[in-house]
Amino acid sequence: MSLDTPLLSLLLGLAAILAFAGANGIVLVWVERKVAGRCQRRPGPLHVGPYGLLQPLADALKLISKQLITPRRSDRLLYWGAPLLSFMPVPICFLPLPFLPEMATVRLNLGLILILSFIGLNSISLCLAGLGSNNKWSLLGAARAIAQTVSFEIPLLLAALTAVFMAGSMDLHEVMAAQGPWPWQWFGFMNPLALLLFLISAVAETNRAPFDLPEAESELTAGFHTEYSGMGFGIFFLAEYAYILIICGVAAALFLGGQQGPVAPGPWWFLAKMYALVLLVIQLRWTLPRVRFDQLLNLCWRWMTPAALLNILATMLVMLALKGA
Amino acid sequence: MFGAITKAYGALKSIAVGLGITGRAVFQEQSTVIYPMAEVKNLGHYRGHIELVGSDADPARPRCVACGQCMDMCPSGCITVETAMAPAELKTNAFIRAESIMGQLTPAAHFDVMIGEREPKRFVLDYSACSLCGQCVRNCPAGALRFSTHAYFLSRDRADFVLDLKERLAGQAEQARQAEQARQAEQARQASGSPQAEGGRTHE
Repeated sequence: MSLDTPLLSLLLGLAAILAFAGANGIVLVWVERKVAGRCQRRPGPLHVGPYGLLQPLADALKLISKQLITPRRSDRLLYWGAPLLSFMPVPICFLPLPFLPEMATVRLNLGLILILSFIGLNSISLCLAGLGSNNKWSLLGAARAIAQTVSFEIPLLLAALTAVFMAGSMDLHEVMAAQGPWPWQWFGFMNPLALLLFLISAVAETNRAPFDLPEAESELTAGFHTEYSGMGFGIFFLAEYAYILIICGVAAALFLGGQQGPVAPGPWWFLAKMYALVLLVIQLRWTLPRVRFDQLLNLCWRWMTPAALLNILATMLVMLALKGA
Repeated sequence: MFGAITKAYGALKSIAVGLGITGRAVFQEQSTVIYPMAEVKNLGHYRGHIELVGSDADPARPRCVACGQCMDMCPSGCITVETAMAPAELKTNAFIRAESIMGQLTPAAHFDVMIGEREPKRFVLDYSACSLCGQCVRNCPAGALRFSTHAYFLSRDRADFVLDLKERLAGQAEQARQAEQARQAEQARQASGSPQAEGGRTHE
């Protein structure tokens, strides 16, 4: 039986993606806690396994073994559907990421659109979680999640569109191929403003600190996942890390040349750039305090959206000028 | 427009500065101590349960004159002092003045205690009732009480927190004596072990 059977390759691809997302979640939890510790000059997890490497496994076991509690007078369907809806788009979003051309489960020429549209489902799941919980903190978290995502998707899409204009394609493989091996040939260095806008919107889009207002543990207990116990919370958590990875992968492919590198181009360059961005996002969380909600919306509507619009306009003009010359 | 650019530049710069601070912290020495593997060294500031202070002449014998003022002062009633007559050779002609707690509301009632006349037979602290207010330490006329640095003190049994501080002082004095002996022996060993190195130097 050949591996070319569409069904078999789809199943294998799906299994590989889910395994990667799960393993990645576990490793990133460890990295997050280690970075948090070192940023605050303490050691981080230490006792379970060498260098505390098995700590996330122990945590996962604890989460799995916990009782799943449904709050009284909550909407059972929305309440338990929300974590599933949060994780469901993850495999789809991993499909177009350019790990290896031969390993692509499905080759898509609109990969970027697919990722950005399905990532939007996450905010709907947060909204459902908040609505279904019958808890005022959860509801406030849900409202914040919607307002935040609706706002920040605009600069995110505009910044991504800038790179798409420069490459002339929505397929991440082709955007990658349009960039050269050296850093000054990457779109992020030709157009640093777009990279910056994309990164800031990405942090806001994945609800990470300093934009973690839907969770905001010091204001809203735990925001939209206040009522979730055990794996209900665990799935939200896993999905959050998967989205960080996806959005950092998109940034690496769009702006940092993806698999292009000065020596030995290949998927390791993509992985290295992706995880470097993940590390930056994690370090940002332990560096900056949370913004206030009005500051967040001001930042989006009064600064980033106009900047993204001007940037895309300037990019178009420069491209026209270069074409004419 | 220009103002907006400088503002954005300032914001980005502050983010970069913050990332620099946390980035440097990653490679700096850690400021916490993992307790069972290591212990903090600044226990001098620690205020644990009270302990008796040894007298200048004999560190194993408390300075306490058994006036009982700490018992009076203690709001929790966790100190019990049993007195006995001190050995005759310790007796002096000096007195110290102790004030009764009565003095706070009524005219102070003083009583003078002769140093060396009496001594505590047992000095019992019920640490499980103590709130570490320090009234006993503050009001001891003989300066015979202080806070200990006994930080790692735990037990499953409440009875273990009833301490005979006099016994504890004797044990501490014995430990200090042995440590001092060991130190002197080590010094003597070093002095005899490397006479050349020591002799080669001149001290002026």
